[in-house]
Amino acid sequence: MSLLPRRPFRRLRDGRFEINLSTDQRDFLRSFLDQLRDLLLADDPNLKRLFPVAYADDAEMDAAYQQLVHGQLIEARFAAIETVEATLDATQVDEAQLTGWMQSINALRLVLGTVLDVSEEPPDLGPDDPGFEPYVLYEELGWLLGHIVAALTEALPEPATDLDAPA
Amino acid sequence: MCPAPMTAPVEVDEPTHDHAAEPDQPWVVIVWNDPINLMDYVTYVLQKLFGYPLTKAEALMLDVHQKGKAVVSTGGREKAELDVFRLHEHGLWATMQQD
Repeated sequence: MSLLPRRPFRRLRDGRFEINLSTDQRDFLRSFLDQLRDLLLADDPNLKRLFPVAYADDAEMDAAYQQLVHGQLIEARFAAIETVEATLDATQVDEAQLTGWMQSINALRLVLGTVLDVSEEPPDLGPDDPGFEPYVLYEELGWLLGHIVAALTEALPEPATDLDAPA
Repeated sequence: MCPAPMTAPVEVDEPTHDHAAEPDQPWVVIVWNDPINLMDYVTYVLQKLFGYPLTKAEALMLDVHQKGKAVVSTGGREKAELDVFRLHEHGLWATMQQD
């Protein structure tokens, strides 16, 4: 594994977020986002995780739900991809923009995880396995996403009720 | 995995809108375990979408992870469907059913 850089996403005191990514990392995201856009335009079967079932025991109601939301879910993905592409070389973004990063990177993980058919156990892969490099990229996406979630968690408002915490 | 001896969240509080007195049975929104979504991500999404405090969001996330599923919200059909949609926008495996 390469030496880890500084925290890739960090919340600043003014509420904005600093991005510390290498050129390689930004290029890798750019290339992945291009591929995701192509898959969305082609309605690729590997995107099934982006359109989950809502009514597990009622196919008719689920079909109506899917018809209602499918286009909206696709539009939301495109909007998030555009947000990342517009800020891919930025050193600072605001919360809405970082949310677009989070949604895009999570979508990439969902698609790549579907293609790789990942389970909760890490696969037993040697560096010569054809699945090794994609899995490293999948892990890299998870590492980036974890840092985005940590930064955005700091920006969450205080919950209105904190009295129902378990004893 | 560390054990989490917390009360099972059968009933969840509604932080906002809960005045639609529907004649039918309430719907429950269930999030299912999946091998891809990160635990911290699921916790964050539950806090953000439902306004839950960290402790509650974490307890629900651990139920999803360890028991395979958790009820994350309840309400009338329209509200449940909107909740499911917002969870789907965030890539979570969410379904709804009438209990």
